[in-house]
Amino acid sequence: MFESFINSLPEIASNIFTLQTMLAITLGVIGGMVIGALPGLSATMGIALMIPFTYAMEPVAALAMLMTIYTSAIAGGSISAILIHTPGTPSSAATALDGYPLTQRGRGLEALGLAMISSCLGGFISSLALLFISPLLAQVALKFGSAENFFLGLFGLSIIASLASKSLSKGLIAGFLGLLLGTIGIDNNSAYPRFTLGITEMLSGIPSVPALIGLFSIPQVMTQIEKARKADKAVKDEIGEIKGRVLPPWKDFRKLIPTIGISSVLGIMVGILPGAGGDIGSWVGYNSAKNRSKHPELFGTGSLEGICASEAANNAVTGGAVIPMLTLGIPGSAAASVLMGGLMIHGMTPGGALFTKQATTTFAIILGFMLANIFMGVLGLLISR
Amino acid sequence: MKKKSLHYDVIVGAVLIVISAALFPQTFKFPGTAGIFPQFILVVLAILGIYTLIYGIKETKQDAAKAAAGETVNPVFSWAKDKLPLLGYALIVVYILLIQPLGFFLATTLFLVGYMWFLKIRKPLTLALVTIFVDVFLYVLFVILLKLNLPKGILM
Repeated sequence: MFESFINSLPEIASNIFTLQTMLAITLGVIGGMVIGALPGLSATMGIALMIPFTYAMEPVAALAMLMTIYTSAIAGGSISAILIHTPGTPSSAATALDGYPLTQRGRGLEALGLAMISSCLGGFISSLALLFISPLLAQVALKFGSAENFFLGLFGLSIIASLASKSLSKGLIAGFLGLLLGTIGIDNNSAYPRFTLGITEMLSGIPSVPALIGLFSIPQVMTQIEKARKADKAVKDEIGEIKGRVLPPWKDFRKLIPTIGISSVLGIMVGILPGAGGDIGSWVGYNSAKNRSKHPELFGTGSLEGICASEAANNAVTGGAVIPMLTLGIPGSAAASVLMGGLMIHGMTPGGALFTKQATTTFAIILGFMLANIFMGVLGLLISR
Repeated sequence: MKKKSLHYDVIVGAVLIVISAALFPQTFKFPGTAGIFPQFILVVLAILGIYTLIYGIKETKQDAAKAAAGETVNPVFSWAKDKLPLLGYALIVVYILLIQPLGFFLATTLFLVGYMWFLKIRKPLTLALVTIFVDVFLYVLFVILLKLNLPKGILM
């Protein structure tokens, strides 16, 4: 499979380096950063809202843009986490712990620069994992028959148990309500339309994009309305003076490289696990860095290591979460499940076929994602300046 | 002083039982085997609903005892606290229902102004600019560029 990858590199490259794809990635980076930096607009919502705009695009440009929004929204979340102590996305909560104290001490720019570099590296490493692990996994998926697919479905549903940590009965209720909604439309065995209320559009079931927007965006709106009242009363925090250099000196940065590396690998693993997203990934990275650190007492008071760990991990989750989505059709995070909706709109079904018949498109998207992470790092550093 | 306060679980459980009870008879009209899977799901949902309801009643009693002891209890449904999100949801439903009879752009305009009003954004200039921008943007994107047939409603 790798040989075919190398052989088709010219075609893949011609798929990526088009004006449309490059524009889409650039727009995705800027849009994603803005969405991520605004508290209340999460990466998942950003992707769900952008899907309709990709209808008219080429599949490569469209999906590269959606994946770019995913990774840069998570990087953008660190901007508000560091500067105003409000994580723009839940994934940046750990970053706020160490980033904001640095801002208060006037080292906000340094923290921001470091967060951007870590995000960029974490995302890049995860895109390498995506490039090399997913074809192998897809090869396994190619051999799947009905029995294996059944167990895959069962495995997907069993994730309910790990997600419903607070109340198993609530998790089961949500799961069975989902199954009930899944029965809407024509029954495969008897061709009888179930629960369609006589609406023609419902015959083929509830389409995935409206379902995703309804499930992810409307609850978000309702939560925000509840918060809107409280926000009026909130007192604005004093923001420390923003100055200082953006890039840390190489001597200091060298010590942080192992932290970034380990956090990235942890982030990828958390990402691959279904259900756990960037928020869990960043805490896993943060805690492991704290345990290994020579100065664990500095964590929470403005440790550069803490910022690196959490930002590298949450961006590494993005690539990791996409691996099982592309190969098995099991999204590794909520945002990846929305991405899957976008993938299917463009006529690509998750599974082995993505890496054989449609390999040139898939690899172009993955390489686009890789480029996006580099763009994001550069642009992030420019914004920080 | 006895105030009526129900635990969320009571409401969740009751709603589930009502949904299951309403849909279950329908599944018997399905021909052949088409009804079996929905029946199974509905029975499970009803059982989970009953469990949640009983659990919720228990919680309500415990919370009442706690409240009597002077402790603060949070997960209780109260109209004062929960009316905004619910109204926000209801407005979205009304908007969707209005799209067909009124037409997409008329309904959208009403919805945007209404929703911003509801969220206490009441400067006339902001209302007008945001509404016009969104309408024009959607028109250019969906009608001119993507050539979609949006519901025209009474504007035709």
